[in-house]
Amino acid sequence: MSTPNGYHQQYLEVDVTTGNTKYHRLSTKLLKQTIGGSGLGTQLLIDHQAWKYDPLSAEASIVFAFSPLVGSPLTTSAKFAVVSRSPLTGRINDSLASSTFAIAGKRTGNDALLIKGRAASPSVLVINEDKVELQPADQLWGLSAEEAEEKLRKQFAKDYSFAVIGPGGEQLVRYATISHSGRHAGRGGSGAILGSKNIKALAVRGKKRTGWHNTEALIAQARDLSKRSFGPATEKYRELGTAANLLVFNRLNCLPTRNFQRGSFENVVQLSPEAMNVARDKMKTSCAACTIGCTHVYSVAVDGKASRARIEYENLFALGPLCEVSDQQTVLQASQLCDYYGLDTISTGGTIAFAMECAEKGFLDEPWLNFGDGDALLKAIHLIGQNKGLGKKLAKGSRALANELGKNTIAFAPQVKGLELPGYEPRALQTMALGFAVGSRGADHNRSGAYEVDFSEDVDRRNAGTSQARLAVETEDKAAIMDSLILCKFLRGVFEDYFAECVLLLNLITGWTLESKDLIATAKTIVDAKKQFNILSGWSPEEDTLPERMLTSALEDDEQASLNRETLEALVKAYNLERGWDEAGFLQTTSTGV
Amino acid sequence: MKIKIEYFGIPRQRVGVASESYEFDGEETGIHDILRAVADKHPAFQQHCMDGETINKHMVVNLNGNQFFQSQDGVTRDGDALLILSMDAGG
Ligand code: SF4
Repeated sequence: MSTPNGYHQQYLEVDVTTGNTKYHRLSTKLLKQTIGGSGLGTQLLIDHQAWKYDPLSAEASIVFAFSPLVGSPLTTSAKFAVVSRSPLTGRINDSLASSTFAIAGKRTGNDALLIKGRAASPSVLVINEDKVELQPADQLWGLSAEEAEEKLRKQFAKDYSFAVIGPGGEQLVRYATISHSGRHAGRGGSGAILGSKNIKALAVRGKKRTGWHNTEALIAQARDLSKRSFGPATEKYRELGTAANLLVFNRLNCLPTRNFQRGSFENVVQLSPEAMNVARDKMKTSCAACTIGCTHVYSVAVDGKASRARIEYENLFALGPLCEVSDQQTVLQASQLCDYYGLDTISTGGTIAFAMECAEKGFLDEPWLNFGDGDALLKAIHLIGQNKGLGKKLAKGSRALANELGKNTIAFAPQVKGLELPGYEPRALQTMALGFAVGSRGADHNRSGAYEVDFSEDVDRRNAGTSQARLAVETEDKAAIMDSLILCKFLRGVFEDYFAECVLLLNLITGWTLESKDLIATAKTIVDAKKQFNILSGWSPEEDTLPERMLTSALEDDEQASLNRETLEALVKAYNLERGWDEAGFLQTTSTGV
Repeated sequence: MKIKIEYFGIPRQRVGVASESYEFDGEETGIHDILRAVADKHPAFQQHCMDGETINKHMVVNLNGNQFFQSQDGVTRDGDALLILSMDAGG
């Protein structure tokens, strides 16, 4: 059978211990059932039995998966997924990011790059089409991702793109990121996996392009989509960025504050984008090939030097209200420090907020680490990034810290499966509570859009019923397709008929004749594959829950926002049945093949 | 009756204030009528947040921080707060 358009129909496996490479063919059947990105990456990990190995061991695999849309004129399509077993959770982890790395990586002639092994010394993995080699990275070790990328740009030809780790990845911080052109594959610690392999950076380039089945119609669709991306559906992201959520969530008591003890923050206004727009210079940036541009970057002076910090809702919530820090300058600086070290802001803020509560309650002997103390927040981030003192403990995340401290501190560690919760208070958003509990990579707002259900007239957000399980499944299915196609989630509002439009784009590129129902079936296959990976890696039904405190006490500032164990268990059971799994969440079949 | 309108996100950008009060005759006022009054007062709100006579599908209203309304069928009473916000969360 001929290669479908949009694909190279192969992936490259590199063993960085030996430098050996191997090309694997990808069947059309598998590509149809996984598409690319998260779906493809998960399947490759299952094939390579990545569930078996310690994520930081030499045997562990990490996949950079592209998609049939990469390189097309479709807005927000320059994306790739980094997929691995997470060193933070021990479960599947897929992080999405956008940059020219996706385009250059795919032009090497591969639909995915799978890396295993451990280089003998710090290295740059260079993939120049069929030429694959390791180059020394001793000069780059210790630098931030941005600094290292700057040096690499000077060293390599212009058409190379890079994915780079910062000091956090080198120090094996379990929630270290992989960065590229200021964007980050953020959650779950893929940066630590590259660090464990002694890989400071990947440098990729190539000239191998994949064709499109119907170029004329694709270009017309791309134009139409770009036009719609300038419309009201994305206005909020373009004008205020995701940080616009801050004041809304605060008003609705679903802004996690003081380590999820409260749902609103007294001093929230000064952290809002509305206030920052007045007080600071701002510039807008966007990922490669994006017409929306949701990234808002603010001026911030650090040690007397003018600098800039990228602000999104998740950075603001985690480094501000969650730690009760209200000083605008400090929160911007904290966000910038996380970028400097290459740390996921949500897990950084979540772990520090948890440690602050432990210190306050006398479980942790760190009297300087107080809620509301901006200097303490900055100091803690430095310690994590440098792997010093308390930072060594914080670098393993809130679950590991709770396990070390004992005394049932795990009851208020803000995590599910080890992944720190993002900025959605589950007691006040109970469809999202279900999404968090069952999330394959842990508490996750990107693989489940269940909060959309909570912000609709269809449900009572503080009083969930089992009928919400079906709605949660629908949002998860949509996300599975978005993350495999791959398109940015901020585009979803512009689609009138989501699956029909997505399948049209896929067909125009590949020449396939799939229908919406096929894409929905693919979404289910992808979610099943993630569950299968987790089961193989040791998942048990007890993991699909929330921290005990969220199931035993109401929010301090909203007594209507309460959730109990029985309700959550009923929701999880309904979700499992809706997915076609058994009540406990096990798949009905055990095949590891697609 | 008097109600408070609170604006968030794009509605706040267009209207230019965080909140304002409106007075209506009678004991109840429909959300639809309130939105009409806001749109009449703020042409930019009509232009960017309304789709003719109804609020556009990228916006949503919420009563007192509790119930969301997309259909605009709800009614308000004296002392209520009506929140008008951009639809999508996500971040
Ligand atoms: S909308 Fe934002 S996150 Fe999405 S591709 Fe554009 S800049 Fe990147």
